[in-house]
Amino acid sequence: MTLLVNYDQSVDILCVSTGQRSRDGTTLDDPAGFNVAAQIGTDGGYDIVGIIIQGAACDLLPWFTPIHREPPAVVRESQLSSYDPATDTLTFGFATDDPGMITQDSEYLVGYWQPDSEDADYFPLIGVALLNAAQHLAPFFERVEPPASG
Amino acid sequence: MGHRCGANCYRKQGLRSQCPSCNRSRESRQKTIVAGGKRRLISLHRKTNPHVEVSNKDIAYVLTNWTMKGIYTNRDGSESVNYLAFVPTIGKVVCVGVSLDDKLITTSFADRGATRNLNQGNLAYFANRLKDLEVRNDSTG
Repeated sequence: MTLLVNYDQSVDILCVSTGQRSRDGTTLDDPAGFNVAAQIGTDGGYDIVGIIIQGAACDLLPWFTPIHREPPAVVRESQLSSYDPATDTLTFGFATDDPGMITQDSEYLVGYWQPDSEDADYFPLIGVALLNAAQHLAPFFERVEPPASG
Repeated sequence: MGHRCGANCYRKQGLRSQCPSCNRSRESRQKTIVAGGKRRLISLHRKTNPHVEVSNKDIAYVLTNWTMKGIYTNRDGSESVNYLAFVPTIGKVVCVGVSLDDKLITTSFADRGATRNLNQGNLAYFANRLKDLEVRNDSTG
C-alpha cells in the first residue's frame, strides 16, 4: 500500500494518509501537540490512518539535505520530531521502547500510546512514526520550497 | 454530471468502490464556509483531504459556537487562530485553524485529548498550547 501525500504550501500543512476514511482524531500529548494530528480509522480506536503536520517545512526539511533531498548520515533530534536514517523512520513525539501500547494497523504508520497517569484506561498518543519516510515524502520534497540559505 | 470529488479521490484512480467521499462530492467542491456572519475560504489542504471525520458543517458549527480560541504558533514562528468547540453530531471537540487575517480556514481535526480535557475542565491543557486563550461559557455565538 502506498500512502497519499498532500502538501499545501500556502498554509505549510502536510497530510500523509492511507486513504481510508478517518472517524476520530487526536493530537500528540505534548504542549506543541497541535503541530501533529493523527487521524484514526475507528471511533474511539487506535488505528492511525493519517497524520496532519502543521509547519511541515520547518519540521521536516532539517532532516533531509536540501539539495539531494536525501536523509542525513547522522541522527538529529528536535523538540518534536526525530529521524533515524538507519531505518528511514521519521518520528513525531516520543517512540519509547516501552510505551503502554504500540499500534500499526497500516503498513507505514505506527502509533505509540501511553496510559494516563490518573486513568489507566485512557491512552493519549505520545508518538507517531512514519516508516519508509524518504520514499513517502518524495512528493512533498518536490513541492516544498528549500529553506532560505544563510 | 461529471464526477467532482477531491484530487486524490479513489474513484479518479479507478477504484470507485473504495471512495467513501463520493457521497460528499458537493462538499469537496465548496470553496468557502460562512459562519458567524463571515465568509472564509477553505485551504487546498482541507479541500484535497475530504476523507476526514470533520465535515464543513462541523467547521461552521465550531466557528459559530466556539468555546475556546487562541493563537497557535508553528515551529517556524507563523501563527494561526485555533477555534475549539464540542461538536454534538460527532461527540468530540473539533479544532479549526484559521489564518491570522481571518480569511482562510487552514485545517481542522477532531481531538480526543481536547475532548477529554475540556470535559474535565482542564484549561491548562489548552493554555499550554494556545496563547491569548479566550474562553466563552455561553457558546451560542
